[in-house]
Amino acid sequence: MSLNAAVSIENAWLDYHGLTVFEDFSWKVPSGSFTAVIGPSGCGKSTLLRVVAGLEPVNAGKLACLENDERGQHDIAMAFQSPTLLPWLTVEQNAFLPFDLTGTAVDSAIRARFDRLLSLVGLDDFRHARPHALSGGMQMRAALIRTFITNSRLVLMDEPFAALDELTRERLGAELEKLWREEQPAVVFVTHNLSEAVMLADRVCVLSSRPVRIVREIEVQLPRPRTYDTRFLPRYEAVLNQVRQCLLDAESMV
Amino acid sequence: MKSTLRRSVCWFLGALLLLALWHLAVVLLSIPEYLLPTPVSVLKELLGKNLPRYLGHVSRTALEAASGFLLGNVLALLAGIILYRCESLKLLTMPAVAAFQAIPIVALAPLLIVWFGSGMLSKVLMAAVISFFPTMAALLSSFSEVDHHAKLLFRLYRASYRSTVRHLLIPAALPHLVNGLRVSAGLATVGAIVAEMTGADAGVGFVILNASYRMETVQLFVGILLAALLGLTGFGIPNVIRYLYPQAWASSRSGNKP
Repeated sequence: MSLNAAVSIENAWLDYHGLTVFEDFSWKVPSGSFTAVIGPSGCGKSTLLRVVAGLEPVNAGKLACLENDERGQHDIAMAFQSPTLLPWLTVEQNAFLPFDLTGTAVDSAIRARFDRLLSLVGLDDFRHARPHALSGGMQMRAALIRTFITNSRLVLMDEPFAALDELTRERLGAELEKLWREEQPAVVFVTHNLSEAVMLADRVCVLSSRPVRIVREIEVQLPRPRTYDTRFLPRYEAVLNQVRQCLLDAESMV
Repeated sequence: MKSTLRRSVCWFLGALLLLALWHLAVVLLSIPEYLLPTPVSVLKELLGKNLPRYLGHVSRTALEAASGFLLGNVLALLAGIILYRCESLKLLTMPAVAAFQAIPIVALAPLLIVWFGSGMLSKVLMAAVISFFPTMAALLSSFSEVDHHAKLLFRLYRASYRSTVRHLLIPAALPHLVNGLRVSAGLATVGAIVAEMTGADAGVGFVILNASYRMETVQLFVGILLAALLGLTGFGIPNVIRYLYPQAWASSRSGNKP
């Protein structure tokens, strides 16, 4: 495993419910990078995330996440397509769940971090609100707090904004970029949305349909922070078209 | 608030109307008392000189049903938690559970009397057996319906099974569980009474059976009334959990799923 890879999969094989997902699959995610993963529906993107998270064992091959000295109870954080908040807990209690479950005391440093995340995503007034009192976008913001409160070195996100409207999605994307820029965890961001992928990521990884192969990894060399104006850069259009063409190729290669 | 009041008033008036109709029918059609007594004579019998005796019988049945309910539900809770964890154990026991559920549990009453005598123990066990299944079934089905992503999240954070049960499965299952407990509490009363009718020297079931042997229809009605009151009380008690832990019902009040 190279010294600065957050994720390293080597020659992995995986059959999942009778389908071949990985056939000698290898992949690396540089630490501190923001990687968007895009691919045809049902190609195994979610399975890939679960494998990386250690929730799904591979049949054969080598999987390594983070350096050994970085491994701890909260080394990996994950966000799903749904906010996955526990409805009987408040925003604050939901955010502290990772600590409660591992018996880690919530100290003043964690509280300070919570306060900072809370105002970063604009939920200051909703600290003690329960999820049902929040809109879908606000629930996703609360889920972002929980995902980032552990200061994990690897953050896995499975289409976290897919169920949201376009404007909320753009706003949350900007907040996510801000969080990532401050702390530089390695982010693996699965999405169906091409412009979202290009707006957020350092590199866009286009996957083929099953068995999963890396069709291409496209570097996104756009200045940060990415703002509304980023979309009007000729470079943005170029990368977007490159990704689109690549995805079309991936879909036709069945 | 206003609608609650209106509902209570309507409920009360409805019950009163039913009793009035009953009374009028008996008087106007001059139905003999040994077939259908008036509500007034039933109440007179209940609150008359036999009241202490009736109270004794009711408390006996209540004690049997409550003990059986507690025993059955504690076991159901443990069984549900263990079986959900051990898929193979669950598959192993499912045929037995299905077979057991196919038996009308009341058919077991005579057997329990043979095994454990006509004292309180057989009634408690009857109530326990009959209240075990609704709770365990409610528990297992609601555990498996808990949001898949929430379960993944708990595995990601490496939560122990104990902590998953405490922080995820039980709170998520609570609304279902309380419905199961309500059914189970009603059934526990049925179980205790049926067992009493099979062989006992006290309890509401004993009152009913004894009155029917002696054609004491008024006493028979008192027995039925007491059984109904016990059943209703049992059905209502699990609702206490709603007031103790209201946040578990938070999600069902809105369309947002966790």
